[in-house]
Amino acid sequence: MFFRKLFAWRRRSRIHSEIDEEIQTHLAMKAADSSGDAEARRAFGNVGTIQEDSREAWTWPTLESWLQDIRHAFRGFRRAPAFTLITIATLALAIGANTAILTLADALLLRPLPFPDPDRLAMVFLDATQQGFPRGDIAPGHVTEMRRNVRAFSTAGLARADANITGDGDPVRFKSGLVTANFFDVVGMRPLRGRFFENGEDQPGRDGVVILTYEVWKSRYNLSPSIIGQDIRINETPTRVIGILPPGFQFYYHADLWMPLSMSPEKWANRHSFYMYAVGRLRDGVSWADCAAEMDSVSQYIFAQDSAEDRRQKLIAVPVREELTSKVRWGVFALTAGALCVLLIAAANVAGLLLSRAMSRSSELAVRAALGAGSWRLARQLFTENMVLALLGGLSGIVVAHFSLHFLKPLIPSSMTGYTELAIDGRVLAILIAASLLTGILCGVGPAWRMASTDPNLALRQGGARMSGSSGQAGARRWFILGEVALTVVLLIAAGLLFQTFTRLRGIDAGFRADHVLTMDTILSPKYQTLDRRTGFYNEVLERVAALPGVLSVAYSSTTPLNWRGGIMTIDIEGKPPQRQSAMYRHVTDDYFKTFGISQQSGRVFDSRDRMGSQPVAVINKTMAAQFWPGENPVGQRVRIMMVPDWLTIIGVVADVKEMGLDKAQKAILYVGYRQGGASFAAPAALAVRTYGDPVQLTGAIRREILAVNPEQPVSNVMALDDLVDSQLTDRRVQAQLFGAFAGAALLLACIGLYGVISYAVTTRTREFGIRLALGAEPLAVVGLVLAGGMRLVAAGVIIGVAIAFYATRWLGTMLFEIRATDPWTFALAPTAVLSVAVIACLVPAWRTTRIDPLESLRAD
Amino acid sequence: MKAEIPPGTLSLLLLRTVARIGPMHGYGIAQYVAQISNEVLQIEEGTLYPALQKMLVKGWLEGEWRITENGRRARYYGLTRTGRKQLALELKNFDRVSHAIQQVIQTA
Repeated sequence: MFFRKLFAWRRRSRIHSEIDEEIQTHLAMKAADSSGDAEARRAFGNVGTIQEDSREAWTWPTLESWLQDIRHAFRGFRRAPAFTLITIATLALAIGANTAILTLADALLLRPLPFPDPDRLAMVFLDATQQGFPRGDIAPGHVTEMRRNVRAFSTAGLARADANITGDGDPVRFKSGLVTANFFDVVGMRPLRGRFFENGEDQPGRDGVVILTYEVWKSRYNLSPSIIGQDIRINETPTRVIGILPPGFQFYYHADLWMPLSMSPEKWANRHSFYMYAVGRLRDGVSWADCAAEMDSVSQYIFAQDSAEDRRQKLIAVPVREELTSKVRWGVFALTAGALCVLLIAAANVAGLLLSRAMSRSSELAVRAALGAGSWRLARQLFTENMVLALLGGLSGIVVAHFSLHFLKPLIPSSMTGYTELAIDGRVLAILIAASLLTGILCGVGPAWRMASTDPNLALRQGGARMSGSSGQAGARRWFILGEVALTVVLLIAAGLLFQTFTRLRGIDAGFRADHVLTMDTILSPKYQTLDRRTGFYNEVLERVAALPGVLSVAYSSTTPLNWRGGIMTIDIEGKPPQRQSAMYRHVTDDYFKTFGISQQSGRVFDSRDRMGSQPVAVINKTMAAQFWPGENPVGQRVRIMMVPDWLTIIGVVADVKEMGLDKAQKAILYVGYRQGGASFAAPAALAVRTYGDPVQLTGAIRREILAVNPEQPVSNVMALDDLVDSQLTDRRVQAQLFGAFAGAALLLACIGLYGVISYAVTTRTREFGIRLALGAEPLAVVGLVLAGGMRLVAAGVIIGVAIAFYATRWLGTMLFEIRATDPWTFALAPTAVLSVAVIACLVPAWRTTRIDPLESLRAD
Repeated sequence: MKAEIPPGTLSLLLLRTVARIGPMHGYGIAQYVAQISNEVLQIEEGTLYPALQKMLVKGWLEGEWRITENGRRARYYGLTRTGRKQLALELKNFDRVSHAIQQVIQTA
């Protein structure tokens, strides 16, 4: 039967003509039998209907009438291009924005992490909340204690390092993860090729092995299987490649290759240098609560001998997913909420547009109803039109989303860039299409229902414009406007708060002058293991670069500001009981403070007097002075870094540099001159050059000078300091801009909606205004009447919006910086902006009443 | 007096008629039913032709164009094998239902 119908489609004209002929024959035979032709035809009924009904046996009646509805819909759109375009554009914007944000949420929060069973994996941090640092790095000694004492999970330690690969192509710097041999067991990975570390390969002497990520294997070694078992030169040391990781593997921070973390037992006992992370997989049957309880007791034991202050810190185990997503979660939620608001406003607007279109067509529809179209059939027609519109909007929305994803990229934190990407996939597409259809249904139900419940008789008699004044319709549209205005106010307030957060962060004194400085990293190979050789390298590079034309000053330091939150050491103060306070530990060359424009508060900074063998000295920042010697002059005082025997004499105090990040609490910093710098982990690796002109133009010349000193030296992270500071704020900027865009779109849509409602009111009440004018009302009073009607609506919306915002903005919490979620200025400005724009949106149509000619309006029907 | 054709019995009537008189055109079928039922059952053209087309689609009937005694071209509907089976099925059903109805009427 199915196939008979299917084939019938191809010869349908023959089937039709056969049926027609058959019926004609029937008529003829009937006529011959009875008195006359006309009589036969009358007794026969409606020939056309019989033909139609007979044909229908061969067709899929529902499908075909839907297709017909869709064709009708497109014909209708072509007749009303402005309406169609505005509707589709509105939907495309709203659905596109939602798709993009949904894709972002999917990438950040829902995409599976690139290792098995991530919800049983814990990251261990040092919680020093009372000092403003709830998630600090831990020391090797902590890892050792945990491996020994924690039963809740098996612990693996990891640290980050740089790896210069030379010898097989251009010298290049990679990021490497240094891990204990059990790391991949704990994480639960299997090698793609080769093997992972064996027990004992993290001991000195057996540690010359490396595991490559798939990405490095592909980009540098062209997926060659023979690389496994071969030696490559990493940091000038032959290192055997033993395995390849599956594609996409990343753990917590970006690493290109993984090497064993091999340290002497003394280093493993060190509890005063904080540069490690630990990861653990909960054993079967252990809950997170058990784990937290055990971490508390282990912490008490570890910090038992510390100062009262330090005993308040503890080691905490955080689910790795929570750690990866906690920083972004609120941002994503807020953006999703913002995008949804825009979608709601857009839907309300489209519903309004559809309603008014249905009203303006009511006489057309009434004619069709009178000609025999059932009201359900007509309602379905309207409904189909709306669904087609919604789908067209949704499809255009995909295009909008595709091009806006680019702007969302900065919102993916670097810890996640390795394995997650922004791409509109099947699931997002499915949700998108469902959302469009839902929008279509919600927007289309009103007009369709209205059609189904309209008496065509009445509609025909009353004509289009008059009957559409039914109060239910106008009422619905007014509610829409109310809601739109309220949501717009909420979005504007949120955008305002985020913009102020951004400008405040921008305005923060980072402690240095970011203009005209070029920064880059040169990670030294073990060739420069001794202090002498290192110092020689630095001196030669500094001298050569300083001689370049356009260079004002040049300096080396452990790190460029804002780039490294680690390198924190425990410090003892001479003449005071052991405080076990900690400070960031940085090695710098003499011109460091000059190059970065870090102002000197008291004492002096390093110069050529501070050599190996002369009195060991240090410069500290203001915060360290206030924290360690409150009310005293620190210059001349002495401090000692735990594990290092020499006392360092403070020679000067400098301004605070925001090493932990612009929006983080200020940490104590201890600077040591590079000639006296012992600890190689803090050896200078970052070159900074202050220039007269555009610093980036000197990149080539500086690189040439570095290569002249060591032709195998990789240079990486070349960046103007300005850009570095900006990049710290990119996510804040993008968040603020997105909310700004949402708020702008909302305001525009709300105004379009408002304009529509007021225009409509003016059109339908022309007669009433005519009477008022005829009776002597001032034209301006009539304008005022219309304006007041519109503004009452807006004012109600604004009040509701402010009330919602008052409660909603506290969810922005962590996204805000140095501004209250109920900032009075923002709460005053946003409603003012909405009110003033709304006045214009009302006034334009209201002014049209001045052109009403009373006589004309009374005469016209 | 004319009577409504009970719903669901139209195809039974048509199949039975064709089975009894052999291939016949729509007009002939309607005439035959009217005559046999003493003009009680009148099949309206508006139901006759759609029903015939549906039965063609379902494969119960097959159509063939022939010339009538009066020299007109008309489609003659004949019973197929599936049509014969369908007729048997519908007859059985109808018997059962009418038997049941009669029982109800009698007891009442």
